[in-house]
Amino acid sequence: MNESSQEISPQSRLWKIVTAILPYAVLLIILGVMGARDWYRVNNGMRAQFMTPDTLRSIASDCAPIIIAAVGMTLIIVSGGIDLSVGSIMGISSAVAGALTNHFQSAPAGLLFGILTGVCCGIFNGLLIVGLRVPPFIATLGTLMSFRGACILLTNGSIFIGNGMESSIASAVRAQFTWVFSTDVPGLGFSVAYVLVALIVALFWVVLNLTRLGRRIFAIGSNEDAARLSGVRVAPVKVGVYLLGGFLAGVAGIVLAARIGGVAPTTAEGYELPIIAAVVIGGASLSGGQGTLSGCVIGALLMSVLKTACTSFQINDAYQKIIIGLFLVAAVALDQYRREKLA
Amino acid sequence: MTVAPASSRLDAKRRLEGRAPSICFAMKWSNGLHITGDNAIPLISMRGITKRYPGVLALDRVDLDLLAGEVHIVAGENGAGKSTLMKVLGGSVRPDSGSIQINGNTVVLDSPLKAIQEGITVVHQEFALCPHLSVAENIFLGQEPGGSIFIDKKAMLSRSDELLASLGAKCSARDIVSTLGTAQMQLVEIARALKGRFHVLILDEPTAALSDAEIAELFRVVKSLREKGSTIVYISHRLEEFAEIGDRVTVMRNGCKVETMPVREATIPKLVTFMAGKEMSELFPARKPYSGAGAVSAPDTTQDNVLLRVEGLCQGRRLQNISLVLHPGEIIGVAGLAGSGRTRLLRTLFGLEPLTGGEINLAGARLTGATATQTIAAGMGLVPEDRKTQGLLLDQSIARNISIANLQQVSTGPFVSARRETLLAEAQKTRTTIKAPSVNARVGTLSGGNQQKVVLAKWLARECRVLLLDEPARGVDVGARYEIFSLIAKCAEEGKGVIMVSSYLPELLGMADRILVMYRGTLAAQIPARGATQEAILHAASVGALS
Repeated sequence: MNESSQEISPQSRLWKIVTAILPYAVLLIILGVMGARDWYRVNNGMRAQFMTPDTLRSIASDCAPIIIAAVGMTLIIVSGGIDLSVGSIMGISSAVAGALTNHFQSAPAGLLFGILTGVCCGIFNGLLIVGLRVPPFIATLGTLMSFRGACILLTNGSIFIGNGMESSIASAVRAQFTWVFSTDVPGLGFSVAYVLVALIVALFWVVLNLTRLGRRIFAIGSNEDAARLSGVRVAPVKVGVYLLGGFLAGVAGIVLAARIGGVAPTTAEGYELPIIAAVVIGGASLSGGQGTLSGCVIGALLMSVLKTACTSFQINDAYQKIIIGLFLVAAVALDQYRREKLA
Repeated sequence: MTVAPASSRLDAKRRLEGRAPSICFAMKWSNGLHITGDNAIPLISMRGITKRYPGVLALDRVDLDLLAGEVHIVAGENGAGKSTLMKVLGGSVRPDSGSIQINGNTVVLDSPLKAIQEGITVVHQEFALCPHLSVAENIFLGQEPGGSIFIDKKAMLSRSDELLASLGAKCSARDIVSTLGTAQMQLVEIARALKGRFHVLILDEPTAALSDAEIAELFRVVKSLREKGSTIVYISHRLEEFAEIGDRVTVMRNGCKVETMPVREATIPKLVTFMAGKEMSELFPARKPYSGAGAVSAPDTTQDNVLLRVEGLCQGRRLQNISLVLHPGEIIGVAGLAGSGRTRLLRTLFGLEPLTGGEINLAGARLTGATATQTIAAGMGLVPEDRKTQGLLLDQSIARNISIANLQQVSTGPFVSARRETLLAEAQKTRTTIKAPSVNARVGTLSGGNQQKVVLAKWLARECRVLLLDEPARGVDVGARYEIFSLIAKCAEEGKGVIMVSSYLPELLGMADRILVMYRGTLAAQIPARGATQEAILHAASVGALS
């Protein structure tokens, strides 16, 4: 009956395309600018700064733990929740992994327990939210502090992997602990961590987009009542989403610890902000029901590339923070504008 | 508080006072002459009002005359432009072209404040109340009596109570709005509009959420306002109300004015034809009886032809000892006032509310204490009262809205097949005549009628055996309503059982085989629909027993 519902005007279709490719375009533009700058520098007898294997590898390595955790955060945000405790879960998981690695004098067992710790933290969050009906923002704000406290207790100062072991064993254990970054995939010339990230993104893309669980997560985030009335068992799905979020935060924690080569009480402190920012820049709605994994990957890469670009232009840290903050707000404002335009 | 320049305020005041005598005159004059619209001088005249939104012409050169002291009904399907036209008159939407004259003077209504100064006040369809504030605070929101710093709370409360009493509202000025029912909220909204001085009161679908008794009360209020000389614009698509309340009717369709006529000339078939733009012999589809196993035509109560059997259902004090049987192919209508437990009954049957006693059996399977997931698996489907907050995933596609209740059907193992999902949605889209470019269209962009069809399609895709429908035609235009009722009738023909709640008795009388009347959580009466009258049902719903 209503004609406005039937036709999509050419302008709004154009808008849809433009805004959908915009994050990618911005990423390419920044890379293009940095590439041009390097080209200029090389032509003038200076060394390339940005387009070097080292710089690119460092960007990717910085992003790896953030992307892994952001995958979990995407699931949670799409389901209509939020997890502020993600940085603390990463911290406590890496602390458990580090402490048990030293205890067992063997990394695999320690890493496994680290991931399990993340899973337990996620389930705990889920039970608070579903069982006690504490709003996700408050529940995870609380566990943000509590998990961090537990992390500080566990680390008790910094954990140096291989502490108290014979030097031959210590270096072997250290190598196991940092395996994801210290080992290259045969024939590809980059470390296992990137493959791990790619596998995780691919796996959870399948979960979110091709499975019944994915449909239910979207449905709950879109309208929890309607989902319940359609026969979706909301409570277990929600707990499951926080469980997966905790699992991925645990993995992200040990990847981060592997990159650093040790664990400190402050490991991953404040990481919740770039992780949530990555998801939001990628187009997820904090009110739930919308979000993509490709978006969160791009969001994480964008922030990291922007930061590195700033550094190579010798823009100091304070200005970097201002720029990235404004960038986040601009991305969300644009997204909001797009939604109104298309509504 | 906004302060207009002193001169313009004085000006407005003078104009308001200056108009009063002419209104009285116009009223006597028009009452004496029986308003015809041709020779009476209009109080407000809108000419050539056009409003274009991106992709849609909401108003197309609309002319509308309002006479002093008349109740003018503006009718039309959803999306016909009624509300937009009233927003133009209320100052909240600026037209692209066209002019408005009040008493022959051209005015520019570029803000709601300006319209209020001109004596036009609007009660909007969507409630704009602050749920955590008291009734009095809501009524005087932004215009609290008192000095420049402190609020004169006493005056506010007493004035609010006066207003509420004059409206016959049951709530007190101190009540918190979120504790009120829909009908009382509606009255608070009207009280808010009535507190100032006004000449024209616009009511945008005021009866959409009210039960019949509350509507009668509202009509009394409207009539007394008219007797005091106010002009009332009444937007509605409940055709049956028109004769009782209106003087003249203007019908709109697709942004254009179709016709303005005196209400006595506006017969229902004529109105339907004007509104829908096509002849519609009846408002309700013809019912063909279901003739398969367990048909209801032979009224016996043997165990084997009962689809749903409910015995002694209780839920605290809210539902008391409710027993009913539903046969295959039967439509049971549930009538009752707002708050009588109709919605709660459906939600309890569907497993959304805990029950404290009683038995529910669907085709022999015990469903007492089952969860919604279990009742759905057993073959129930619920179309909830409010499709936007409970029925739909508004930001998702039609296909995903239909598949969410049918994931098993479209998946292999844990994986959803996009192809099967689309096929299922396409089939249901055709079956339920959903008008949309494709099944990938977002449900939020559809009209109310098409949205409701999506909710129905979700359950039809399951071929569920018992459909629980809560106000299935609320906020749905005439054409789509007919289609939805046809679908419901078809379900019954196929042997499904239907329990349908409605506040609108003609719907129940037109569709149901049997009507159950609820009264304060109990089943007050069961009446065969054939031969039932609105009066009998209303009586049972108000006093709890048949007369």
